[in-house]
Amino acid sequence: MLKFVGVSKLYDDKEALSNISFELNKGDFLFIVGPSGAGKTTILKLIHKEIEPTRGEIFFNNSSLTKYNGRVYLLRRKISMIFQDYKLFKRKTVYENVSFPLEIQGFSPQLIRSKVLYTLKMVGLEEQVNKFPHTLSGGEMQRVSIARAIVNNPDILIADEPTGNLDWKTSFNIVDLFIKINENGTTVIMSTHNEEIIKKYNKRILYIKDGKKLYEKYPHIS
Amino acid sequence: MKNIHIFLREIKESLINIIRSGFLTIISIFVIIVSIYSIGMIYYFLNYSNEVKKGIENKIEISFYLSRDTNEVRIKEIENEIVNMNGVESVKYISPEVALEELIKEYPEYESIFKDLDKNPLPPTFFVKPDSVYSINEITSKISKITEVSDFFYSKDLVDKLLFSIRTFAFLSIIIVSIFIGIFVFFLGSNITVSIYNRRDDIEIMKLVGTQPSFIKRPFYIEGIILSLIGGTISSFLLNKSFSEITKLLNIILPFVENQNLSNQLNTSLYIYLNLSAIFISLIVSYFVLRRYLKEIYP
Repeated sequence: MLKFVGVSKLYDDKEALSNISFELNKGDFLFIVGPSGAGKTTILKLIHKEIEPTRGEIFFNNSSLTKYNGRVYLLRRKISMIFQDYKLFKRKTVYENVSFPLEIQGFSPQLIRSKVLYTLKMVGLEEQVNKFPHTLSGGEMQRVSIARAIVNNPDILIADEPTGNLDWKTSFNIVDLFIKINENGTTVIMSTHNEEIIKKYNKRILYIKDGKKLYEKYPHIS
Repeated sequence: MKNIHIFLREIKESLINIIRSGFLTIISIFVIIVSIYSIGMIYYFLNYSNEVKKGIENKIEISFYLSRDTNEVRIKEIENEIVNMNGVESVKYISPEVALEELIKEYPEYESIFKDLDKNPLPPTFFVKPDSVYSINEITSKISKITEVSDFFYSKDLVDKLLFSIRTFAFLSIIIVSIFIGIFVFFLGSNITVSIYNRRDDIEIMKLVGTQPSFIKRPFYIEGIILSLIGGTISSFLLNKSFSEITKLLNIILPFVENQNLSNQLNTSLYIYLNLSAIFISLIVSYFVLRRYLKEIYP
């Protein structure tokens, strides 16, 4: 489903990512782990096509990402991203935030309503539909962000340090939610430097440091 | 069906933005009203000055005398020559005999004096009506070259002043209209720029969640159209009131100008043109501002 082939990324002659290769299949769950500045966000931004690789190639569903040049919005409807700072519309309610990706695709109001309410129930926010983001806690805002990312049934969900601003308990709840989403068939890629999370969840790990892949660890099969 | 839902969503987005922009929206509408109203009034006065010109043209005649010894054959030739001149609407010839009869009719108390004269003192006379005030100088120049012409008259000062006034007014009108269009463009452009700046975070999020560029751009175009229509409608209403009041006033001040129906003639078509022009300008301004500020979003 997703394949990195010798991908490197340079920022002003500084190598942020060096010759990275890995492959993900449908329904996989991957933690990208490493210290701050290791290149985790660069990998996610490359997948989301916010930046272009300097060398190498990225494939999604057997097609190069260059296929989406000029139509990057089509890719972002299939690969949704969750951010550490949530990136919610401040002047829209929870419902409006989550319904937005469906509205821009022209779905009928009835279909949008049923999908949004179902998704908000899934992330445990069915009571908060008419609230504005600033009235929510950090964990709730991240749940809104997740709901907005999955309402569209993306093929891949990528999350950039989604628990970075949250306490332990809330962080585990959020990762539990990712596990649940993954169990429904969505491929999930999550970057983190939180060792506790990696230890708790038996998932595939891609460890990078200074832009290089140090090792890749697959989950234990019991 | 999907496109209809998207279009309705874009209209909703535009209306929300108009309401949220608050003070900026009010300023923009005010500027549009002032600009369209001023352009409408200038258009009215240009039309009015045209009516004034026509009113004066109807009264302007060039009259010229031939020397008394000019024979009938030559008089006929001169008449044909003048009829064929560019800018001549009509020519009327008055022979010395007819002129004397008219003089006697006008001053019957002097009839005996006129009849006692040995020789008719009145010269052969032509009255030439130009088709426009702009033709007068050309006609008089040609007439003055006819050797038999002894003298000619027309209200030179009045015509020159009229031509100068019309040209000055037209020139000033173009400058004033250009200034108002400039102000309109500046404020509308500023409104869109500030709107983009205020919504830069939202636009960034839209980009990240897979919004097509047209969905980001079209609400700005729709916003410009809505503001232009609101401003255009209000200024059309004000122009309608102003036209009828000013027409009434001018009919009293300058009764010789036939402008009774001027305000009615201008109404519908002018309002449509002004509104369409405002929409057209807003679309052009939106296009360039969006191209300048949003090109980094979807390069």
